[in-house]
Amino acid sequence: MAGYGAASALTDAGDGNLAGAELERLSGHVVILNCSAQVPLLAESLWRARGESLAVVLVVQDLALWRAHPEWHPVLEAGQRFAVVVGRPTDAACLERAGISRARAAIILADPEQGELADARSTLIAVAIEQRNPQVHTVIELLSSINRSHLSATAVDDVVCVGDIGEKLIAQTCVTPGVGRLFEQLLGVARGGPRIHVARLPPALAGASFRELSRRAISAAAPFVLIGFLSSAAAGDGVAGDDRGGEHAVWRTARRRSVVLNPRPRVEPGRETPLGEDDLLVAIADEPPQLERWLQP
Amino acid sequence: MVQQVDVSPLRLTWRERLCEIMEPYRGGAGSTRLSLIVDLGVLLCIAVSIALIPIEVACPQWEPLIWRIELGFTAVFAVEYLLRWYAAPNRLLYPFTVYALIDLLAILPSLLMLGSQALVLRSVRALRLLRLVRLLRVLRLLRFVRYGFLIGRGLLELRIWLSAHIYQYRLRQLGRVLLYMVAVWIIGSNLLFVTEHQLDAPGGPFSEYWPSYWNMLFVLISGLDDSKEPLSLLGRIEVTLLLVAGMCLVGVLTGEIVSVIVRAVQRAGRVALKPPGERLEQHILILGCNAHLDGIVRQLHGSLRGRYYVVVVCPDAEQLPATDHAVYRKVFALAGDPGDSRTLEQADVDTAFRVIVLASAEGETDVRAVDSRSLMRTLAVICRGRAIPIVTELLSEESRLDAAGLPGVEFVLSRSFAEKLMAQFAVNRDASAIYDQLMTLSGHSSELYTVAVPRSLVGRSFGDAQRHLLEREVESVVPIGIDRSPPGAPSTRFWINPVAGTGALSPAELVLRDGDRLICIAFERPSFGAVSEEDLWRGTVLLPR
Repeated sequence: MAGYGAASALTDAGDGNLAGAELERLSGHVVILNCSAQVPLLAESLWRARGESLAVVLVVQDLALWRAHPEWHPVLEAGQRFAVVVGRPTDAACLERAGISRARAAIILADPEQGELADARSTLIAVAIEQRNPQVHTVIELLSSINRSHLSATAVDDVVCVGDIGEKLIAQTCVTPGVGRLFEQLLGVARGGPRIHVARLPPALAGASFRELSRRAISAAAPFVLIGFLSSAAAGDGVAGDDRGGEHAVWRTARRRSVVLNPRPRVEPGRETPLGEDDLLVAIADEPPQLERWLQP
Repeated sequence: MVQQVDVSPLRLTWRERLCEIMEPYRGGAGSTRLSLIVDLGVLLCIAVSIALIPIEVACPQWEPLIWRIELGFTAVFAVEYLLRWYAAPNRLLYPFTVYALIDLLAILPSLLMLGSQALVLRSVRALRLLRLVRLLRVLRLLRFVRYGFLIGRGLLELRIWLSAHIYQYRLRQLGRVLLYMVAVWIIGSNLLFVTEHQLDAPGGPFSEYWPSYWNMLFVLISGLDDSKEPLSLLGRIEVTLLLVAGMCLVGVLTGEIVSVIVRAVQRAGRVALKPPGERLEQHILILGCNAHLDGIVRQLHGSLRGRYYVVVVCPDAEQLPATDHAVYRKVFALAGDPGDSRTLEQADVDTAFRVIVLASAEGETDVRAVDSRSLMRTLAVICRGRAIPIVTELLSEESRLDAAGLPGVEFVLSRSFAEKLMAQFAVNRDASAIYDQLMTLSGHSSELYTVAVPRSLVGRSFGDAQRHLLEREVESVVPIGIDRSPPGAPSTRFWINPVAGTGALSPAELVLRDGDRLICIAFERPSFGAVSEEDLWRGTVLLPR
């Protein structure tokens, strides 16, 4: 097993197109920890995200495993930046080499070598990252939803639980056949497709309600559909419940905003609630929505 | 030129709310819990008032009391009739509708009698006529027609509940033993009364008819003592035979009761077993079992509020845990190989309207082998020739590509969704809670639905539909796209965020057509998507409650 246990094993695998000083200067990139079959699609999605082609640094613990699976290697095109750092993902030196302190986000994949027990390793990696850079946005892949509660002690921002997703999608597709394809399009990597965008409310629009802003968007034939908002104010009745947190728990984002999707009339926060400057609008659009241009009265 | 729709706010008026409450409960967005309570109250009043008619005939001495109760019911039905009339969309025509005429017939006999008392129609002929009119209250039975859906569903659920409990706790055997016991008791009591009552002294055990029953019960359960001893030889022979029968039957009965108790303890916390003779229709069939089963059952319960039965077929069905009694109230387990056609028949696959095939490892570690098993089970359902929508969980992309040609099947590859979600979350810090809510089925979260475009919006633009639904106060729905998929292939041709001039849509194509479906974000299936009673019975659509 290559690279296990020692910082001295820290090397560039030489599989990417970034190395040396270029890697050290990198900032605003995404660090993927652990390699698996998901790496190529994930990297491709990140390169195509928002059209800004994020640089991707992959931290590989087991170089032999990585080398044994060429199908896990993303195919690089012009302008796409990718580096492979070999080392233990919980090791501070290894994380520093991957530029975790300057990274925009860290994605912790379930280690395929650990099988069903991968969640424990992933959690330890999350703790190590949060210690190095609490500002980084951490996304962790969990295999079992039972382990979700163990992450509450860490500062992990987003948890993607494969089991949860499967359950939810199967149930939704059962109730509304075809819904899986709708989600596939919303989550697709192809450029120009509809996505869910979250955009800060321009100060000029503060005080307007969701209903009012939607009316303006419809009248102006805006190239987006407003579907809700993220409120920094305390959530009240009518806000969605969460199956993880009891009947009337509130969905909150990593930045503790309450999610008001499809706002209801006559409840707070709802369709008529005046939105504040700190609130964010949620829209479905092909490109990041230009709110100021389309939502002016 | 696209016409503008009326966008006046649709706040529910008091009359509309009353109409919603007085409408018979059918489930779905338009039917509230209050409507169900009102229906059950009215049904109870009808049943009691009809039950009073034979009592009145059999016990004339209670006539004054029954008449007072009858007046109370008449008042209730009259108020109900007036409320329905007030709430009716067309008040001029309402009295001439079939249900209104039936309602009137239900109160008319009592009103006539009340009127006759006031007019002092006291001649003998008038009194006879009034008695005949009084019997016309039987016409109230017609009122049950209005509540046919509710009564039918209630009886069906009661039948399934009873047969499930009888099968679960082996109550059929206990019932049979009890029946034999009662038969022996009745025959024995009568035999000994006939044989002994001439010889027995007054106050003897079998000298009177009803005390014979009491004494025979003692003989059967606890044996014979001196006080119960018969006097004649024939009586003694009969008692001896009855004692033997009693010993056997009481022993078997005790054993059966213990068996029921043991079974109840063993099955506690487990999913109820599907009764073999009970035919289910419009249920959700889950083939295979894995760690996702509990989550899926909970999600379905959260969305459909326990309206539909769920049958889980897997080899170790007897051991399936029921983690929450309320969630698993309508879930049955059936042991067997989900790929076997005989097992599928037992699971009533032909009358199910949704089939979920779970990636069931069953000792297998290779993901392709697990997928192959799931695909075989999917094929087993497809080859039955019924157009049942199937959702199949797969573990590998290769399997999905191989099976892409299977008709009517949707494949869920959670791993692939996880990859896409992670990429989205990495670049969009707030997206996870939004997707989590969109993907979660519960009464408190918004999900994606596709519903038929209401007739009033056909010929209008997508923007008009957005504006119209934005101003609806009845329910909150955000349309986000148009679905023009052919029947039987949902969401195969659709546009999310349709914008004229971009993508494949011209301004003319943004005009909604008959047969189009709107892709919406809503808390539950929008009520404007018309659902007929036939749809409900056939299970074409899934509705909560």
